[in-house]
Amino acid sequence: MEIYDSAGVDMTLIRWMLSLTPAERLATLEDFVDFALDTWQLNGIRPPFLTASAG
Amino acid sequence: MGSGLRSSLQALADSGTEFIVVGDIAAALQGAPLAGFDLSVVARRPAPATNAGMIRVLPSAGRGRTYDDLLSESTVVELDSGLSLRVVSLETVITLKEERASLADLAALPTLRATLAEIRRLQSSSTTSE
Repeated sequence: MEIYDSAGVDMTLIRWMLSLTPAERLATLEDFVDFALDTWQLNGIRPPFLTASAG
Repeated sequence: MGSGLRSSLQALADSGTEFIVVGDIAAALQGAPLAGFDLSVVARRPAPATNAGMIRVLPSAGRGRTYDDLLSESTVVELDSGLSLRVVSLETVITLKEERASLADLAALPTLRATLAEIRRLQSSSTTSE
């Protein structure tokens, strides 16, 4: 089983994420967002996505 | 500072707003390891400039796709706590990002496509092993 696909995507991360429940996946995303927000806040940076459009 | 992502989704659902999760939340719920900030839902009847915490509540996504347009391309995902979320399919997340085509959207596409391919591979191996 390959570690990276032809585009260079880390498949081990995808397989790990797929092993989680939907609630655990949402918690993973939330943890990342919280970490980034804390980091930006500590450095006095306004999160750039607050002004981005959506898709 | 916390995003309150889950609690914001819960509050939105409790408010009676009909919405479909799109973007990076939809992708993550289906197993794509995205670390992005496209935290949006499309509501059936959004109030002007409505937001729920970090989550943007939009009238449409991609090339003007509304709630009704996206409904047939969505499924309901049940979270452990009993929260049910209507979520666009991973195929549709990819389509919406291709349509918007910002740099962040384009950067996410390889991971989204690889996740979709892995899901299909797992489904195929599960079918053949039955």
